[in-house]
Amino acid sequence: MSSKVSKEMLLECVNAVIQSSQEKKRNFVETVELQIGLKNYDPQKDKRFSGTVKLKHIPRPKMSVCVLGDQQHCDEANANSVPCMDAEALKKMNKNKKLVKKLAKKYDAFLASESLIKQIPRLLGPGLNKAGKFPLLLTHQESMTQKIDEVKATIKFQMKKVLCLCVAVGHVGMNPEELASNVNVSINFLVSLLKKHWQNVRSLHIKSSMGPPTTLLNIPCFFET
Amino acid sequence: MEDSDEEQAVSKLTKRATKIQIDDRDVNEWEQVQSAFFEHYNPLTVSRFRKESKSTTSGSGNNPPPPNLFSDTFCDGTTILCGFAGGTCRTLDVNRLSSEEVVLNAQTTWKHSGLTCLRCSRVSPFTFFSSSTDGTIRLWDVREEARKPSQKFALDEASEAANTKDKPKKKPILQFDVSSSDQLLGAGTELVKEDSYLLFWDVRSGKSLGAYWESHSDDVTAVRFHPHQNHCLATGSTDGLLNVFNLLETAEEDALQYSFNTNSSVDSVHWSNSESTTSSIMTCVTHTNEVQVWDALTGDRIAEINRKLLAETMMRSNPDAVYITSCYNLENSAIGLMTCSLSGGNTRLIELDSEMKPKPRGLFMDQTAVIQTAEYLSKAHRWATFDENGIIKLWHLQSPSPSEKKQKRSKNISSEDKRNKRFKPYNRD
Repeated sequence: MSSKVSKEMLLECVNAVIQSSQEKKRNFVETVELQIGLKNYDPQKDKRFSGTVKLKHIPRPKMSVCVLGDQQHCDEANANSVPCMDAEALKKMNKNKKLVKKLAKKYDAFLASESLIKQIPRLLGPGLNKAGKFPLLLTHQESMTQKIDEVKATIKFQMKKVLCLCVAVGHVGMNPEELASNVNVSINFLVSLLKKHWQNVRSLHIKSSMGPPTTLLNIPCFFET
Repeated sequence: MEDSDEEQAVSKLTKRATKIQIDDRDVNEWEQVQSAFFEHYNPLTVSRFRKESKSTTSGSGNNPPPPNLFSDTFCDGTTILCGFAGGTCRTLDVNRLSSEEVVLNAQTTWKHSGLTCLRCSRVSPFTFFSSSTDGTIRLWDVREEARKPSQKFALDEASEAANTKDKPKKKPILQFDVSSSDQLLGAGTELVKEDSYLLFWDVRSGKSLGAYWESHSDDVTAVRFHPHQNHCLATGSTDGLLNVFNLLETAEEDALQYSFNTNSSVDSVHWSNSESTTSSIMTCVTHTNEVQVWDALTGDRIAEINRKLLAETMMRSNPDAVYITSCYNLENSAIGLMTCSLSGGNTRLIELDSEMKPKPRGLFMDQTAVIQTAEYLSKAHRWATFDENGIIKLWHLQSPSPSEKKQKRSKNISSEDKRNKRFKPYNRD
């Protein structure tokens, strides 16, 4: 998929963002976000949608994942110091809304074994659904640590009722090539999600949490038919 | 500000630059495509919508119709209901469709502003329901001269006001469905503050039966009742979850049977329409143009078909250009996907076989625009499509050439029948 943003331009902008964040050091590691302005799209009338994409490099290293596993998965989790809970622990919660809510707040994402995932509504009720943290399926055919890394590297694009979109693609502690690669994958995925691909994109900017935005691409509407 | 030569040149360049087409093409020779997709559909009638506005200030130019976003077929199998994003909808009798333009004006359309979804009655060929961002569902009767809704389903404002301190917030409905035998209405809403709702009404009395708001964390974009069991409901949302409910249970947490995590965003969900009343297969089309098939009885994911596999089946080069118009129930419980290329048309019908593997099935000849919505008229074995250019086409199956009969096909009985059928010329009333 040919990108309208050249590699050099991307690297230049990424470096500019990292540099401006280093000029004014903050007390936390700033997130780098990609901001997209859309056009030829009516958020009121067109369908709403969202999509997830896996990046090459983990944008949020501090993300916590908990495994709701069967015996085998729990053993594997304990061996890899991954927080886990088994069916018994979930049953003990007794569908108590407060406990489930607390559990949902404690972790950023959940993985669940095939046998357990079907029972979640029965064991926990809709608490995890409400929190937007319903677990992802974890099979015995894949490596748990790999799946966790996959989850940590996945970002979500959400089309809201407005013409702009924003998503976190990394942090200022990453090296420029990794950041540039993440930004590239994100842009290509988003474009593939849009009905008219590049014709729906008006502008692209990247910025760090507290820093100024750097323009990657800007197609002035003035020239549009 | 003068329009200097320089400025004109720059504007021409940027105009050209912004018209970059999506790169997608056939991977195989056209003959191979034609033989792989053994059903060839040709347009029987081609028509278009023409919007007539009350004011004549627009003069010579006809306003192009607003994008047609959704449609549904009446239970008589020949009348189609089409809805436009602006809030108007009109019926279309396919038996009366001709090359004349289909006019949209106050006499031929019904208006429900903020229209988001349409569903025809399951029992009557004369009534239909519409939902809107105003949070209501309306029941219409096509025989009604006054073009006013026969019934309005809204939330009980009085009880809502009593429960909340501030004014009850409007809950825009994004999609809804009516259960078999027209008993219940189930509607999914947008995310309002922190909740997205599933609202229920009893059709006969018009009473609001309550709501669920714990099972989805984002806009509810798909709502479908089981075709035969009216207590079984499937819902999908942009949060990626596909929920299955048993409405016989009173509390939401007991009603929620399964939550399937598609790890994407749900565009639509379809129940397989097999003869058996216990059919539990659900096909879900995601906003990323991928398909997942789940079994609502066992809770297993039966198939996951990504864009790359679809592109291969469609015999096209660019997976990012794959666009799924919708999913349809074909003969013999087969599931069909109408796919297009976002580079323009190339509409193809893909069938999911008994193992849920995608196989090429049909070609819609010379279709160059992306199809917004389509209806499969199973009785007449025809398709009605509405594309992005406002063109309506009624398609029928052309009898294949002798060379195609030699092709070895799957043991699917229906395809054998189609090949041996003779199609009569279309008789107009």
